[in-house]
Amino acid sequence: MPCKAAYASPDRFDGYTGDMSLESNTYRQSWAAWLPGALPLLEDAQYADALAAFPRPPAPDLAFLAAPPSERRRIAFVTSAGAYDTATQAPFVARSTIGDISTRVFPLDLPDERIAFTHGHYKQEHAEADREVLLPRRSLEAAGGVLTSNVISYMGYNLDWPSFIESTIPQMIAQGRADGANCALLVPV
Amino acid sequence: MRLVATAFEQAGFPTVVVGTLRSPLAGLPRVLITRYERGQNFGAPGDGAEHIAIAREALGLFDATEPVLINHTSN
Repeated sequence: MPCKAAYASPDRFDGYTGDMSLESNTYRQSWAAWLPGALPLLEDAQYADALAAFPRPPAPDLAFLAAPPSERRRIAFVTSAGAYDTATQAPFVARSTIGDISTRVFPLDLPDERIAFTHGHYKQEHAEADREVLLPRRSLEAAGGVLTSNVISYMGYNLDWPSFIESTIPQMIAQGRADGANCALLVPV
Repeated sequence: MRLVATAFEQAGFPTVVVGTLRSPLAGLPRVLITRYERGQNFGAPGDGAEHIAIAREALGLFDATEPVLINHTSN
């Protein structure tokens, strides 16, 4: 059976949270069926075994989009590094068994010393020593890029994909739109 | 990140992804793979010249007119 609502559809990107009910969302059904068996493995950090049967939504065919000419590009910067503003935001919940689907948005010009990372699944020491290795704000501008006014950040370790798809991703896209972006640069970890 | 990049594309935002692992990103429209360890996608701490070189190559991928997945090779 094809997955319904497997990916957020374009008409869901402006705050619509979608139908989250188990009965009407076949992808959520398959995820919910996977979860009980996976939880003990995740709690024991046996990630390969836990994720062996992780249900993934089918990848849609993407039409290739031409980017605006360079002089008109306004680039949303998006990272899964778990970056956040230490003065105004809570860390991501890296210790959660199924990760954290929340997002943090902070100003592009936030001083380096205000930025920390919570993730737990990569070595953060490099980015703590030099934010540019994951948040290359100054490097992109030095290379001629025009970034929009906020960094959009989430934590890449999250396994509640139905909620991430239905709720978090539309929030991030809405943020990009609100900031006036017409393209996006993404930095995964 | 595949989910996020796909959704941004579906919403009309052309994307460039700068990663360190090829297989999770294969099939996305514009991907730059760097040779660095996960968590330092733009190079080693303090190597500003490399950070800018990778940034410049990443921005250049927005000019692509067909899908592209390449390795960054400078430095």
